[in-house]
Amino acid sequence: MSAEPVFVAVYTVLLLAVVGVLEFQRRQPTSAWDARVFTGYRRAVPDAPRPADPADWPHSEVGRFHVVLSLFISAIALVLVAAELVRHHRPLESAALVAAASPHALVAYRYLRHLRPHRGPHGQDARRQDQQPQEGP
Amino acid sequence: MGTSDATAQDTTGGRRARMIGRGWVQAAVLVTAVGFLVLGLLAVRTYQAEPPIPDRVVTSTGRTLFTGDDVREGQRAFLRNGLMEYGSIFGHGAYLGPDFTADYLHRSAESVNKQYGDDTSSSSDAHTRTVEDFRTNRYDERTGTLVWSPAQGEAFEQLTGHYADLLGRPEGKQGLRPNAITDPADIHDLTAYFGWSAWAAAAERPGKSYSYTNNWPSESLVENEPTGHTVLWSVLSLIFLLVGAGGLFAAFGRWNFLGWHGSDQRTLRFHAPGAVRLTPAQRTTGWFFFVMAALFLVQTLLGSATQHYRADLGSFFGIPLDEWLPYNLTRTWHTQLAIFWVVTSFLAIGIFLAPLISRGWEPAKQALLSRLLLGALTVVVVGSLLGEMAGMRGWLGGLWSWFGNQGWEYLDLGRVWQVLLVAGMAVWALILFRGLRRRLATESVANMPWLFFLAALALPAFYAVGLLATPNSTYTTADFWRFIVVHLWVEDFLELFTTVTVAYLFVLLGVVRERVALAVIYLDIVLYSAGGVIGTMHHLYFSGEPAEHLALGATFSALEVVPLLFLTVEAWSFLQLGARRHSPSSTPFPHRWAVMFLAAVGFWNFLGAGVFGFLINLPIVSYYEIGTGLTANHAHAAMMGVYGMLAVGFAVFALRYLIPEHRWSDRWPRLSFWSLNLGLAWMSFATLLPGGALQLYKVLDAGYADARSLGYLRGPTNTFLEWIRLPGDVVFIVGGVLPLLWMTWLGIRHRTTAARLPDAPEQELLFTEVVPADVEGHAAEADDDGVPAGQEER
Repeated sequence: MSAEPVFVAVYTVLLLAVVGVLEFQRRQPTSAWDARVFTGYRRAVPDAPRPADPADWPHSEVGRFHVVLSLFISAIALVLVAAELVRHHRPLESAALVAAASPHALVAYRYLRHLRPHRGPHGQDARRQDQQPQEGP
Repeated sequence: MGTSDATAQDTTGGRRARMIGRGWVQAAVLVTAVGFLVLGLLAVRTYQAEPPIPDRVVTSTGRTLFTGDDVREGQRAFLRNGLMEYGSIFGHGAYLGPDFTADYLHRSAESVNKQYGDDTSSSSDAHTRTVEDFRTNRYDERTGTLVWSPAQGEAFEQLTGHYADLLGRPEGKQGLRPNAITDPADIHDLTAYFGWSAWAAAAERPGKSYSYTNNWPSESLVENEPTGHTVLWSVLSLIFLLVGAGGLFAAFGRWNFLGWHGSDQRTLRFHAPGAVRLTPAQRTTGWFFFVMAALFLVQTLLGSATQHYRADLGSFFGIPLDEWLPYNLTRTWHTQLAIFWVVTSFLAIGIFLAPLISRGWEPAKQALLSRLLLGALTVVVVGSLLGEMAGMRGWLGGLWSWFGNQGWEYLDLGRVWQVLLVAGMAVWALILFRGLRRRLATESVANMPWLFFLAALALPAFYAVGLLATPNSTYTTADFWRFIVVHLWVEDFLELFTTVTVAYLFVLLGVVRERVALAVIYLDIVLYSAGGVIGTMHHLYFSGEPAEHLALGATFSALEVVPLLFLTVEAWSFLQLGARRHSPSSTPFPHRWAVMFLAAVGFWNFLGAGVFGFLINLPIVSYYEIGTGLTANHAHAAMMGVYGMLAVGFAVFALRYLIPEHRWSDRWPRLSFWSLNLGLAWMSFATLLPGGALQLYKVLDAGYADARSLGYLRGPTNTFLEWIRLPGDVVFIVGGVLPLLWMTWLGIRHRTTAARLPDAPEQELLFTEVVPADVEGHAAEADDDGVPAGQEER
């Protein structure tokens, strides 16, 4: 087994970790008032503003941004592995590459399904947003 | 920092009182002054401790190898031929060609070792003698003579032949044009320059046990290894980062010093873009943004050509591109245009904002001046780019550095063009002053109108610092001044102008109160000045500077990550304040995509500047990494991700008013937004990051010179990764840049004709009325300073 497919397989797993971090970030509240760094502030100020609703724009875009970015990174991983399989396809190399790419295929499938029906991670919210006359006539 | 004195009225001057506590202003001035004081001391130390250029270099047998003039002439030949945009010296420059310092050091050490060991390179005796030859500093300051061993002299002769072959190859195919440098005198001088830099990289500083470059590059043949300083300050800077970030967030959470109390619960009604009357000067910005997008397109196409050389040195899909557009020329244009198109957008948004700040007032002939400025800018851009080509090809004779290329990476343009660019930015500041002067006369210097003007004034002032680096400067001093522009101008002053501009945009849109925006600006000044000014030295760890530059650079540049972390939080806080769409207003927020680009700035600021920057920032990492693909990864993700996205965001903001409502479609900015972000992500994650990581491994495995060689870059794995970048670049250009160019074309083709008359009465332009908070069921609140919500003067 040559070094290149090993590197690509390891890097593909690393990209899975990047997707994981993006997924974690996607689930974080983006309202500054919800953030942990404001814990002290919330204690100190009795009339702190209400936290933003995740359905509010632009917070509603955060999920979509992270999902599309994650999808793209999984696509990069799949393209890397596919190209590498053309270059190196001994049984062991192929097995390692396919094993590394499989989670990305699942992630990509899941994200595609997630995006398709609702056009946004908060599907209902995204539709509501599209109905609002905010982008001109 | 209290704001109790913020409302004191200055009745004598008739000016609006300072809207922020005095402590903020004092802190900003103090931190900035201390930062520049230290920077000044480091500048003095640079001149005191740079590696000397000997008057002559002789062998111990008395044979003169080269003189100091040869070294200086070699540097001029290096810059004149654009070699800093091909390879690098002391790790700085381009990444296709070799690092000439490391390359010379490695090849000459191999040669010497071979001469001593009679081809038994493992011989410890040969190794010991080689190390002694290179590490012992035989420079006599009194006589100006540097003595090399005969073996080193022999290596010099051999390498003269090697560089004659590399740089003057008739068939090209190495990234330079065929027969690029064939004059034997030039080759001799260039070899002398490389040889001198290699000597400085290995010879120990007087009284120290490490070389002039803090033992960079890593080279086992001469026992160049990381110094104690390199390791120690890496660890300490990590600790400073953790303490700094923790301290800032603790303070940020505990004390509400940004003043974001509940008083921002306002509901706004925005002017529909079609209802906003633009001034004549604002209408001219349509042309600025069109030029910006055209330059952006050219820059990306040149970037593609530059990238193609890394994938295939032979030809551009069968076209012998290197005959007319060699790598060093395309990269020169690519890096210069990166500055030009971003600056064009910044100039335009300044002109666009000035009348808004002046409540719609604009002096006569402001549009004419703006048009003249754009014309002059176009002349400078085209002239400097053509000059760089002419200079490299030797068509300008002795005027190469005046009208051709001075050759320092990022400051490549000829001196005349450089002066004209500084003058153009100064004229721009003057145009802004004309437009703002009525407002400035009624404002405290600490308030936003003045901050906006002063931030604009800093742009020509600090770009002008680059004039101190000339082809005749010594390398170390030139690099010091060069990075004041490359880093400090970008890190501190473009960032300051950006912060002020974005904050002002939100103030003009009514979604952020002026006092809140002021607090954000002053906090940014404090944070960026605390880390960014002295942090500039993190570029200069191994440029021939003494160890104190390394220590201070590592410490303070680690602290630069703190404001980047903070700005990510701050960006979302801004956006929260901007999220008013659920309000009962019948007029929607018109800047959805401009704000989306600003959100992308927040993302790339964190990833590109913060994570990718910090990845390579520690001295111990930089020691092995400098000049590899990981640097390019950080540069692209930070420059395009932050300043590129900002420049596009500014354009989209202004185009929303320039393009008539019935011609506007969200389709184009949406396509551009996603394509630019995804194309950039592809560039980074598909090629630059994995390629850089592999190259870093190669440095550790086989040494720096090997990892930077054409042989490594042309290897199958690296070539594979370079080709993988292609789809992302297509997405970036076709989906990202072309729609932007189309939008800017619409901005001049269908530019709104509804112009505002110069003598029209003053008015707030971007939103109409403020609905009191109690309409939404909240108690109407007063500001800390007693001004009722919604009636604050802007």
